[in-house]
Amino acid sequence: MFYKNKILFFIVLAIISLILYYFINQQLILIGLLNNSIISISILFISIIVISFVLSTIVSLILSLILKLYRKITNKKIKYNRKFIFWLNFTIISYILSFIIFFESITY
Amino acid sequence: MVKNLNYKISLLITILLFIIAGTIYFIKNKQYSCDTFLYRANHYFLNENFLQSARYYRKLISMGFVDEKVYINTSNSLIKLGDYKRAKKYLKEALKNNPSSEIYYLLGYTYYAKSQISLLQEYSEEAIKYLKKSIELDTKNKSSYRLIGQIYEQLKKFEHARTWYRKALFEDIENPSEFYGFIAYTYFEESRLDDAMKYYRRAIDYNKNYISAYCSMGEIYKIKNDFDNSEKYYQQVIEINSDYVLPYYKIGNIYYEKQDYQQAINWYQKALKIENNNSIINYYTGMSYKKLNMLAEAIKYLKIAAYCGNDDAVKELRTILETF
Repeated sequence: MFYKNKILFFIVLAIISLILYYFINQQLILIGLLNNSIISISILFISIIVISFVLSTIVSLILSLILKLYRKITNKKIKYNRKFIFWLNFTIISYILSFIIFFESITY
Repeated sequence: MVKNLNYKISLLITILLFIIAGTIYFIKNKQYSCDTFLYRANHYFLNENFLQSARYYRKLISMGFVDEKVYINTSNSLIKLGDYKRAKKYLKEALKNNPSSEIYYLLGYTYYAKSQISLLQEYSEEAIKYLKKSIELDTKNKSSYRLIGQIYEQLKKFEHARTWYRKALFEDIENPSEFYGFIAYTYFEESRLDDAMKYYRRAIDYNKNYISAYCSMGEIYKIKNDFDNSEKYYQQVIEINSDYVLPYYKIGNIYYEKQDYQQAINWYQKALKIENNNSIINYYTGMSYKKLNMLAEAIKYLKIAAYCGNDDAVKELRTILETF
């Protein structure tokens, strides 16, 4: 998503982090450093990015292994854009993760 | 063209995500019942699970459930969790709906609790302001009188503290012995022992089982070197509650000062039956045995005291072991 406009994706993710912070703040008593909204939103934003990055790396590795296996078996050459696949995984996982966090934070 | 398509699909998916999230939020909120949340919040509050109770009470308030008790319990939960800023916010909101003595008291308490951490006098002054308002609305609010007096005591303004304790007594509140005891304590802090004794006696007149007053009288007589009367008051504490360790220890100290070490040991042993790991009592027991030249016993009790964190016991043990 937003492959040609990656900055826009991060802006959207920052807005999502802001919204998530609001709902998390309703549920939990955030204390200490987390009481500061800027710090909390930043931590949320970075956490989503880091976890999505790790998961998308794993998914991309699995996908490339599957494709290598497929090539060996079928002897067919399959061209795919690794960067695109990685970015797609990254954005989809970020959205899914944000949705899960949102769902948990509105559940009582 | 491809860029445009990719951008449009991405935008569509993002907007769809927001719409779905909004719909789910709306549906979930519709399902929630105020009665269920109130029951859960009250249940957690009674079981002192303040994190959960604060969570449910805040949700109730966000659902539009306006009830003074809910605001009070929310604030109490937040105070217990140390979130004084939010507690103040809810109390001030509650004040708009129904200004009551209890809410003003809780606001005063919140500022008082904050002053304990920050050590800033301005919080104490704010607390006093709200407590005065609480008393204006309910002149028999014991808790407000007690807290305002406590704040003045901490500010070392003992005469102010006494003024408020006397005002409470003037209002003919239940169980005045407590406030006579507070007044006596302020005199004790100012080393005005005779005045302190006068008020402790009045406290005891109203409540014959007021252990704290008896202990304080025992302490005052000990300061005045009147050991007989001191022991008499501590004995009365034992008659009221024989499982309370302090009077045994204090009587032991009286005999220790009179250099009657055997009697001191007898009383310390009684105290140790109740609290056998009390470092101070073990220390004094050890010291009493040392005075009687019973070093093996002395070392035994001093070791226990040292193990429980008594530094003086460590020094004594070192001295004894170096000498022998």
